[in-house]
Amino acid sequence: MSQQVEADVSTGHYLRDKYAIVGVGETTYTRGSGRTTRALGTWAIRNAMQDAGMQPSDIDGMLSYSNNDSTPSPMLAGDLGIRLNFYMDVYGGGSSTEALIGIAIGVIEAGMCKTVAIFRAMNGFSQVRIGGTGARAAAPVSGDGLHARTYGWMSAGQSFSQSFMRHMYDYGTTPEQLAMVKVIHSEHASNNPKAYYKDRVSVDDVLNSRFIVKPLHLLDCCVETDNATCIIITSADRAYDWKHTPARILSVVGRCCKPRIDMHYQHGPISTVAGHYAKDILFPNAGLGPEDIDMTGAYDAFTFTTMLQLEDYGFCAKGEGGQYVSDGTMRLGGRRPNNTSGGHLCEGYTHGMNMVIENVRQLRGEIDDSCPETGDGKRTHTYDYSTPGGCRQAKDVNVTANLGWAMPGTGSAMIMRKG
Amino acid sequence: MAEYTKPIPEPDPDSAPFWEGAKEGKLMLPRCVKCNRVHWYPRLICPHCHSMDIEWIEGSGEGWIHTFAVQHRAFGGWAEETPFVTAYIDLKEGDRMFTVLRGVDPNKPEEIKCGAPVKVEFEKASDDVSIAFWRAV
Ligand SMILES: [Zn+2]
Repeated sequence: MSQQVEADVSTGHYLRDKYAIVGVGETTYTRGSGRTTRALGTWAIRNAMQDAGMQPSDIDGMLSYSNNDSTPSPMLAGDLGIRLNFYMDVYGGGSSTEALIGIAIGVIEAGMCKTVAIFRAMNGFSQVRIGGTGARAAAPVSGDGLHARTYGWMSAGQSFSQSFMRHMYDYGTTPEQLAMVKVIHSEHASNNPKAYYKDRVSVDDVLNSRFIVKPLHLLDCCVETDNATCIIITSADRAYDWKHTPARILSVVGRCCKPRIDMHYQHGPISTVAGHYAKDILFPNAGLGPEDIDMTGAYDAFTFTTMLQLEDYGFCAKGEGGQYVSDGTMRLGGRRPNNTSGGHLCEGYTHGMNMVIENVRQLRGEIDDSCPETGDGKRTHTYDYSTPGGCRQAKDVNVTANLGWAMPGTGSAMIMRKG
Repeated sequence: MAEYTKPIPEPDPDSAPFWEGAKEGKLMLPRCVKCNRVHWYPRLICPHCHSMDIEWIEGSGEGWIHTFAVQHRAFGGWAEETPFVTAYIDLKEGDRMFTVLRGVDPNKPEEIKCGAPVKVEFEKASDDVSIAFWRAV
């Protein structure tokens, strides 16, 4: 007998389309913000509220996540003159964005509040970095560390790299194919005035950058930045009171896990990731399949994470991820663009928030690129993606999918449609 | 013996028999008496059948490379050993164990093969703790 019995986790479809994202905002993406996470957080929330056209009295719920590197909701709410009916600050990094959107839907559905601002504020470069320095290195080696830190494993790249290597071994996936994830995201970032890295890079640039942990080169790894981001959720009946076309939420998955999540590597195919399980919640609850998705936001902590998720969510067959990410499908102008902001590899590191924000703006048809402004904040998009500083708005975006990643064993996801 | 400069784990009650065995060069593994399956790492309850009747057996010390990576950046004492190879070992008795792989050239990763056989060995890190490493054979 095994306790890993497959449960029916479908929610029924009664919340499909009943909630929406109505405001998004962020700070600048920098290395060395010179500000506290408290200041950064208020800045992002203010920008999202201005995006929606909201007053302090229009927000009554707040959610945030952090790795003990942020400032809790009550302080930010106080700073902004917001009176809360609900707040919660949870522990977590990647894959929290979509999970917290689901929680926001739940608390609004429960009648606990009406409109929730979700924020992530982090000095991810200048204060708490991912990896093996500071408090994490000073802690005693026990529990999970007994099987990890004893052998020099401290950072995300170190821990994930073995899964990536096995994928290359099983399926013949090549470093050149993976480098194309960075190449394509850098093309997108070159059309994003907000992006921290705006320079386009080549496959050779990636392959010639030094190894961090083979098979990961430096340019296979995301940028670390200081920034805050905010997403505002409300119910569909209130979603049309604000400035922009809402992004309606069709389905959401939060922190879905592989079997034996504690050390998922010890069981089953090591290059299978949580998306393999999450897809069976995501697509049935939306009433759609991968073929219906116009644009993806597949989390790019590393080039490999984008590929593994697209594969296990069913955008291509298992083992064909290398082909999928390198054949131009993911490019702006391609069949299904991915991370049009440049994502974590180029725009900035936000633990997933910026990829949702980007898809909301794409669904509105109001991407913040360098195309000529026509007044009232709108632009005349050229749809010419060929040169840096060009257009970033995709044509005919009606349905998007975000695929969030915490680690190979845990992921979150969301499907949105144009409201 | 040179001083061991890398992180030394603190054994806990669930894993104590493993560390006692390691001091004597034995790879001790937890096996469920009820369903007869070996699991790694040690814990109170069998993850397969929830029996709390767990016995310790001496493993063969044999396994195969499941997958690996070459660490070019590391922290603390490990920083001085880069590049080195980390790996998951498929244990002959079942489940996988994380390790640093010995007997391979980190500068020639193309010569390291998934599925290649390995054997366990132990290095004394302190009077109380010896650490398991696996070596390509
Ligand atoms: Zn059992």
